[in-house]
Amino acid sequence: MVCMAVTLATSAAGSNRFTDSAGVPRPGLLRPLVEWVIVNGALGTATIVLSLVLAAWSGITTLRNRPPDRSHLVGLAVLTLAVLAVAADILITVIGGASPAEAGTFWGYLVTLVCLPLLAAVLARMEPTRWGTVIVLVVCLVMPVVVVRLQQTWEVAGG
Amino acid sequence: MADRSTPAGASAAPAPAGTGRATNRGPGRALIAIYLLFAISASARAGYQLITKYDEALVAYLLSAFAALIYIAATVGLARADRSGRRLALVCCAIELVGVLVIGAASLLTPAAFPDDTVWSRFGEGYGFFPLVLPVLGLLWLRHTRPRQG
Repeated sequence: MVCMAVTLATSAAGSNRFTDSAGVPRPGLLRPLVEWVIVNGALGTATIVLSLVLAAWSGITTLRNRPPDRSHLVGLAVLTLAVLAVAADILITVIGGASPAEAGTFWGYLVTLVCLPLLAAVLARMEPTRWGTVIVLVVCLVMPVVVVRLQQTWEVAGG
Repeated sequence: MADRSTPAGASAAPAPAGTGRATNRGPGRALIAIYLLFAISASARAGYQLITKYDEALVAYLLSAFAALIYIAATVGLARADRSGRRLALVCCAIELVGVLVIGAASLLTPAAFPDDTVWSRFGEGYGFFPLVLPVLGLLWLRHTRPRQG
């Protein structure tokens, strides 16, 4: 999954969200450092890794029969910042003239992705038992899937 | 915040007589969260498909929309946790289980009838087989929290 995220955003030849048909980089706002990060898919990868780390931590906490504590809420806050960065990156790219292959599905996934960590935080606080930690665990396992689907619906039609 | 040593479910408030244990506490809340995710994703998928390409595979998209409604109703039923909520959740979980088994088998036997995937195609393979597991978990949870006799 992580490997997919790294390779999805890169394409040696042909147009993608970062280069036009001649392979010339599209204009962006925060180049060149941010562009290097984004072209290598690092923003999506970072979100996936963060999410899986928090999922693992929630799994450990669940096994220890503990409710979600401050560490989980901080983790969800960091995840929120990560998905907001992903959303900002996408908006900048779209303003730069690119567009997703499957627009409807893509924007649906993006809205869902931004809402997921907030949803997890609200539901986890409502359930101060180990099952609140399970909620964080489940949402953190769903988020990487959404990030990958986001990258897929940007690049290819279908699905 | 509950005491850290409180066992799961022990913090649930006593339910009104005759309604059994609340379905919206403890593991039930985690179950509701998963149902909520499915309600959102199935509705978004069905809505998008019906709006943009309803003529390609109308039956499959209507099935997706039906599944979305069932997930929404099951979420509401589990969250309400009263007698009618339990009944609603029970009916929805049963429909889900039958739906995923029938549509799953039909999509494998007659793929031509399903030009585009539904949530339940191939027993929910596209969603990590969760559509197959979810109604079973729901039914087990309803059984676990059922009203005690006497």
